[in-house]
Amino acid sequence: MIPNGPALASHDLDLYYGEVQALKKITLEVPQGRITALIGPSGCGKSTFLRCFNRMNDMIEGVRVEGRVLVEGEDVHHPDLDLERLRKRVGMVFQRSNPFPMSIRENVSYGPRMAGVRGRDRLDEIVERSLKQADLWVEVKDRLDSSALDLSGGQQQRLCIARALANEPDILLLDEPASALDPISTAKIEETLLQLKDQYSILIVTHNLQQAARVSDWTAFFMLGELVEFSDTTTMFTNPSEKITEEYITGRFG
Amino acid sequence: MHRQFEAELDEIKRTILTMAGLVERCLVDVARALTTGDAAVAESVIAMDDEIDQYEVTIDRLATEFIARHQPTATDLRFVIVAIKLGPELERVADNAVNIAERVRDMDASLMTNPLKDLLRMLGLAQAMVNDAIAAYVARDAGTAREIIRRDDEVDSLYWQLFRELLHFMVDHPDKISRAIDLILMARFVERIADQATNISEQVVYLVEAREIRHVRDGGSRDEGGSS
Amino acid sequence: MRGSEPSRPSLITDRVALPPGLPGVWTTALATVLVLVMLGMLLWIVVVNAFAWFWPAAVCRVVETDGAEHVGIVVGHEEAPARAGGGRELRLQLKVGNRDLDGRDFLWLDERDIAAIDRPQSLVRVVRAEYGDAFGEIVGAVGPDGSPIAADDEALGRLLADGARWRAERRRLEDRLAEARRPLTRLEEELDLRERSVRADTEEGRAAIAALELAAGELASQLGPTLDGIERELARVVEDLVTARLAISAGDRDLEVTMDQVVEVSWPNRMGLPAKIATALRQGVTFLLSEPREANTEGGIAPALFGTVLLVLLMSVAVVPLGVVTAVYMTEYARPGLLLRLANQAVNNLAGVPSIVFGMFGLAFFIYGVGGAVDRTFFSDRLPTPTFGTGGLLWAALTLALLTVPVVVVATREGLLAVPRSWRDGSLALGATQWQTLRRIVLPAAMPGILTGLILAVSRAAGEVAPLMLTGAVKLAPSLPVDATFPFLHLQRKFMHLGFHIYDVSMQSPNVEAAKPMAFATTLALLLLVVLMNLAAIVIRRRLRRAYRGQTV
Repeated sequence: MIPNGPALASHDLDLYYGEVQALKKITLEVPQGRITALIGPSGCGKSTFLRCFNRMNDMIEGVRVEGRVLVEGEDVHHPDLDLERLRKRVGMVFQRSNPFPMSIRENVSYGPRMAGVRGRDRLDEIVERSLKQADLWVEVKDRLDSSALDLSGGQQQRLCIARALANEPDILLLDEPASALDPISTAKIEETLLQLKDQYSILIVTHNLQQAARVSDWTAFFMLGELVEFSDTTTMFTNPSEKITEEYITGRFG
Repeated sequence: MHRQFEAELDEIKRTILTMAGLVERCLVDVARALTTGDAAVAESVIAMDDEIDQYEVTIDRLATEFIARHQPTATDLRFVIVAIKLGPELERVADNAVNIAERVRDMDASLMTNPLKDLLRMLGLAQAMVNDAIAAYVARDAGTAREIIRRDDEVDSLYWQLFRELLHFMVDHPDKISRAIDLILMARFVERIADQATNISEQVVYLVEAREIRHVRDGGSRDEGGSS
Repeated sequence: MRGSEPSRPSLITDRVALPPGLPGVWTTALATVLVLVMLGMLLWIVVVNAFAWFWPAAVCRVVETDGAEHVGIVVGHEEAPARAGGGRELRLQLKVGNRDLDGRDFLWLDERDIAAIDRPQSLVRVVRAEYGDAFGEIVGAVGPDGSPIAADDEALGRLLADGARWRAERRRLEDRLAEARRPLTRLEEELDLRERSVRADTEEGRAAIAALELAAGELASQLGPTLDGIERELARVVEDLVTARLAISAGDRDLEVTMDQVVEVSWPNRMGLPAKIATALRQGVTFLLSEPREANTEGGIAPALFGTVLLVLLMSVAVVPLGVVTAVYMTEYARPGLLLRLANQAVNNLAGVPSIVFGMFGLAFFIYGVGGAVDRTFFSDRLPTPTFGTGGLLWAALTLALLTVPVVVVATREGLLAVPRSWRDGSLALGATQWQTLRRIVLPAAMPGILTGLILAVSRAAGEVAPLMLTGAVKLAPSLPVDATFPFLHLQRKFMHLGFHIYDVSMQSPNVEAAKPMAFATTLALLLLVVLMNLAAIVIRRRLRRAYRGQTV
C-alpha cells in the first residue's frame, strides 16, 4: 500500500464480454479516503468497471480482461493473488439488498466467520461495531437473533453495508445502493456513507446525478465503455470540460 | 447528507454576516470621519472596500456550488437566492460609504455646521436601517423588514429638505458652492444607502413570506438603488 | 369529455348469458373432479376391503332347508347362476373356517336353500395358530391335568387366561433356550458351512472341521445342564398347553382345539359398538406388530413393515449423498458444454428406465459381480453357500438407490438453481470460498428441493416390487436383518417387504379368498406408511421453506 497513493487504479483497462468490448482503455485513479462516484447512462460500463476491483466479473462466462487493475497498488490479476483476501479488503454492496436467510447477527458476522474468526465475544464485538458504523445498531440491537429478512428495504441495505464493514475492508464498492429505496432510506444511506468517508475509500456507481452531486468528492463520467471525464464533483457539476458531460448532466440525453 | 447540507448553508450565512459586519463598521467609521473630519479614518474606510468586494464574490461562489450540489427547494432555495442578492446590495452600501469617505478626505476642515448636522442625522437613520435590515434577515422578521421600508420616506424627506437648504445657501454664498455641492452629493449617497437597506428588507420579506413586494403598486417601495 | 369524437362503448356491458371463459373453467374443473374421484375410489376400495380384516364380524348359524347346520361369518353375496324357473337369486358366501376338518374354508349357499339364519350369542370365534379360524359354540373344555371343566363363562375365562399365560411362558422359555444355546448354534452353523464348502476336502479344511467339532462337543457338554433344565420346564408348559383344550360344536360338526393352538378367543355376537371398535383397534395393533402365519395369510406384517422401513432408510442413506453430490457437481462446478449437457440428458433418461431392468442390473452387477467377489475374498470358506453373492438387504437398497437417484438429482438440481444468485454473489463478495458458499448458503437453502427429491424416492422405494423380487425380498425371512448378534445389522440377509407381501398374498397364497382381506389390509398399511413418511418430510420441508424465504422452490 503506497501511502497517499490511490486506493484503486486502472491502467488501459480493456474488458470484453465474449466479442463485445465493454470497457475501452480505462485509466483512472480513485483517491483514498474520499467518495468517488461513477455516473453515466445505462450500459456504459460503470458497474462492470466497479466489479473489476473485486474480481466479481470472473463469475460471468466469457469475460476477458486486458490492462492492469490495481487495488492499493497491487495487481488483482496476479496469478498468486489471494482472492478471498482481496474480497475482504474490498467490500461490496449490491443494488438490491441481499441479506442471507439467517439472523441479523449471523449475517453481519458471516465474513469474519468464513475468515476463521471464532469466539462469541469477539464476533459480538464485530457485529456491534459494524452495525453502529452502518447506523443500524439502535434499530436492531434488541433483535439481533431475528431473521434479517424481516427488516425493511432500507434497513436491509444498511445491514448489507454493515456486513461488508465487518471484514474491516479498506475500500467499499457500492453498486447503485439506494436505487431500490425510498427517499428517506436513501438519505440515511447517503448520511452513512458521508460518515464512513474518512476511514474508507468509497467508489459508488449511481444513476442518480443529484446523489453523486450531494455525496461524492470526485466524479467519473462513463459513456459507451469509455471514461469521458474525471474531476472533482464541484467542477463536474458547475463547469464540466467535455460537451457530452455537460449534455448528460443537464439531462439533454441519457 | 443532512449535516453537510446544513454546514454549507451555514457557511453562506456566516459569510453574509461577516460581510454585513464589515459594512456596518464602514458606516460607523464614515460617521466618525464626518464628525471629526479625520482624514485617516476616511482612508481606513476606503481601504476596507476591496475586502468587502471579495466577500460578494465568495458568497456568489458558495451559493452557486450549493445549488449545483444540493438542489435546494422551498425556504432553502429562497435563502440561497436572497444570499446572492444581498451580496451586491451590501457591496453597494460599502461603495456609497467609500464615496462619502472620499469626499470627507478631500474636503478641508471648515464645514458648515447646520447642513452637516442634518447630514449626520440622515446618516444615522440610514445606518440604523442597514443594521436593522441585517438583524431582520438574521431573525427572519418580516414585520421589522416592512417597517424599515416605511422609514425610507423619512430619509427621503430629509434629503429634499437638505437639498433646498443648500440650494438657498449656494445662492447666498457663491464662494462656497463647491463645498455645498459636496454636501449635496454626500446626502445623495446617504439616501442611496437607505434605499439599499430597503432592498435588503424586501429580500427579507421574500425569504420569510415568499412574497414579492418589489415593484408592487401598493405597499411596496420605489426601487431606487442604482449603482455607484 | 371531448365533444367532437365518436363516443366509445360504455364500460358497463349488458349481462351476457354465458361469459366466454366459462366453458374452459368447467372443463378444467371437471378434470380435477375426475382425478379426485379416482383417488377417492382408490382409498374407498382399499379401506372397505381392509375393513373385513379388522372389524369383528358377527358369527352366524345357518340352517338349510334340509336341516343341515353351518356356523360361520357371512363374507359376501353374489348372484346365483340362473335356474329353471327364472328370476334372480342371491348366493351367500359363508366363511366356515375349521379348515382342518374338511379342507374347505368357504361354503356357498343359495338363498332359497336357507331356512333360517340367526346369531346366537354363544357362538365363538377362535383364532388359531394353524389351519385358520374356528367358528362354533364351546360345549366343553378340558383342564391341563386332563379333567373336564364346565363350559360356563367363569371357568372358560380362567382357562383362557391360563392359556394365554402358558403361551407367554412358552415364548419366554423358547427365547431363553435360544439365547442360551446361541454360541453352540453358531458353532454348528459354522461347522455346517465348512463341511459343505469347497475346501472341505483340503488338509486345512478337514483340520478346521475337526477343531470345530471338538469345540462344539465341549460347548455342548458345558451347556448341557443349563439347556436341559430349560428344556424340561418348556416341556412341562407345552404339556399343559397340549392337554388343555376346548371342545367346539360347529353346526353339524365337532372339533377340539388345544390351548397350544389357541391364539385368541372372542364372542363377536356379544359385542356392542364400543367393544367392536376396541377389538378393531386391537386387531390393527396386532396386525402391525405380529409375525405372519399360515404362509402369510394370517397374523401380522411386522417383519414386512420393519423390512420396508429399514430398506427405505438404507436406500435414503445411499441415495441422498450420491444424488446430492452429483447434482452439486453438475450445477456448481462442472464446466458448461457438450459433456455436461450429455450427462444431464443421461440422468434424465435414467428416470425412465423400467424398474425391472434395474432389478436385472442389480442381480448381475451387485449380486453376481460385487457380491461374488466379496464372497470369494472374505467368505471363501463358506462357499458354495453364498453370503453376499445372493439377494439381500444391501443389494436391494443399492438397487433402489440407483433407481431413485435420477429423481433426487433432478430435484436437488432444481433446488440449487432456485437459490437466488444474489445470495451466492453476496457470499463470494464477502470473501467466502466457493465451498463455504455452498455449504453455508446454497445447500441449506436448497434443502426443500432435496427433501422433495427424497420424498419422491422414498415413495418409490416403499412401493416398487419388481426389482426387489430379484434382489432380496422374500416371502418369508427366517430372521430380521437386525438382531442382537454382532454386527447387529446383517446386510446380507434376505428381508420381507410390504409391497412384496401384497403381491405374494394376492397371487401366490394357497387360499386366495381368505387372503383377500389381508392383502387389502397390507395395502392400507403400505399406503399409511408412505403417507406418514411423506407427511414427515413435508412438515420438515415447510419449516425449512419458512426459514429460507425469498426463493422460488
